[in-house]
Amino acid sequence: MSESVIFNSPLLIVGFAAALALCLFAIVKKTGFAVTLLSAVMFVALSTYALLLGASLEEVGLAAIVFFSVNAFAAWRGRGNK
Amino acid sequence: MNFNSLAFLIFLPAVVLLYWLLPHKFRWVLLLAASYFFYMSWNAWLIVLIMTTTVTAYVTSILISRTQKTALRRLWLAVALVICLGLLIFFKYINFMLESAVGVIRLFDPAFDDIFLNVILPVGISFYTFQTLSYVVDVYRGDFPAEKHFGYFALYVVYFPQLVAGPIEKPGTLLPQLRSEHKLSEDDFLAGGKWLLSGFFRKCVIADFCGMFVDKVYADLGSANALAIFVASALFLVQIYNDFAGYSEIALGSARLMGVKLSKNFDRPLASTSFTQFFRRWHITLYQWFTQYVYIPLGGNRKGRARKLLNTMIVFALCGLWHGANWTFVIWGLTAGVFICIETLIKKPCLTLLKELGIDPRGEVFMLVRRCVVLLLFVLCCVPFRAQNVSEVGLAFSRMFGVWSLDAAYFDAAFESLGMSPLQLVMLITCIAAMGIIYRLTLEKPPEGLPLGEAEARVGYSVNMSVYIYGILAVAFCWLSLLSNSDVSMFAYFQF
Repeated sequence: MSESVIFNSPLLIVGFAAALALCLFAIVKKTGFAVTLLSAVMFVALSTYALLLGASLEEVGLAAIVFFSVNAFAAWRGRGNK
Repeated sequence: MNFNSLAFLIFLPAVVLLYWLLPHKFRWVLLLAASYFFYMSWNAWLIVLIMTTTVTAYVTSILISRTQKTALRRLWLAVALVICLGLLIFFKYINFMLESAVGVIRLFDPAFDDIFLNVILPVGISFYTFQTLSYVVDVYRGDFPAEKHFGYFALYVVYFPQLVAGPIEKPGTLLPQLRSEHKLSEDDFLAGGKWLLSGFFRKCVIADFCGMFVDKVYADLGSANALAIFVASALFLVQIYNDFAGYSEIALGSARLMGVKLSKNFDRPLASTSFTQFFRRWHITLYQWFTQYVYIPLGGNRKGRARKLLNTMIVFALCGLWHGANWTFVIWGLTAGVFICIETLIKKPCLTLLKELGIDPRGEVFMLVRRCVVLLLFVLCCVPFRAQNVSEVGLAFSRMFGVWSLDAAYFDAAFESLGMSPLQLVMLITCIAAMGIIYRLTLEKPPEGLPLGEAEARVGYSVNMSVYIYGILAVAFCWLSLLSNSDVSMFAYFQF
């Protein structure tokens, strides 16, 4: 995807991957709110940086949809659904 | 004031805050004033229409409840029907009827001039008229006592969360809730918040995103190839579902923040295995309204198979017309009716055939095939629903059933017509995958029957917060993205 700013910036790829990893860690280990908050702060900072680099709102929105879907699915499973 | 506007994002919290600050006896005044303000934000003069409907229904229902004479009761019912339906027909269908009449006259006199009345279509008139009529008919049938308090009755008609696009509530469901005193509850706020998040996600992220591609193809059907039109029609199904389900969920969430539980309007219709099931899951309250007030009084399925099929066709033709004053909607309704009739006719022979072939009709593979067939045929139904006029329907179908190819250039041409970049394709696939998760987010009953608050506690505070944080971020980014391209998009069902 040549038009993607996120996929053309190694820093953003690594950053978003780290934020997602932290988010998954918080879900799996049921950590306190601090880890989730750290992941969210990283996400907002990386999104801002991506927007400054010229990423479209759509592209950053896509990243947010992925993070949202992962958490929403975890929440659904956490309520005892299989 | 659209639900997806900044004004509503200020209006709703302000009303909810005041609602909980006020003592119970003044809450109806607040809600009534807020509802009228909400409706007048479109066009202040339209309040006269909704007031006329309200006063008519209120007075006639009181008169019906005060007499035991059948003739008088019928007379007052007829008065209510004539005035309420008369307003609906005049404001929504007068130009359609004139246009159709002119079309017939032109067959004999081609020089006959157009006749057009400058009438505006009041927002949500079909919804509040149907809701009001259900009240009058229920009072007439003795199913519900006439409401004596004009304030509560007026609030039932104009209750702002569901005023302009439903759910169409029966009096027995909504009026007692408006009357009763609600206490601040964690469960209501949790459920309301989730409905709101899910609704905004459906509207701002999924529906508006799909709408961009649909609009591009349908704006120039003549140059789009079969694949582009088919994909656009399929995306329109996703768009209209998420648009309307999104609206309904925002309505549910807004009402729930004030302790009121509105009826669910959608229940995963795209996973239906039959047409009948589809309509039981799509716009549930409208389907129930037509079943209760049209289909059953016509005889339903009690007068033989032929009469049942005729009643089905009448209901679906009316249902199509309810959606809009255009022949395209009638075509849509009749097509859906034909599909349901065919399904009714072939159900038994098909089951017998499957039994002879040794195929389990409840098997997973067979269910998947049924889902695909239902979806495919509903995509075809979407063409008249989306087209602007009958000639556009013909053009779309003629091109859709035209040339198909596996050539790379053909696929490139389709993507060009849709105006879809590779990144947008990835986003579209993610959005469609998110649809399944969104549904699960709003499931209110945890599997072990735990109270909602307790089930949420099991999930953990951090995961719950993450859902809100990323959900709000996704909605905000996509909403801003669409705002930068165009104005705030209307909810599709507002026009109905």
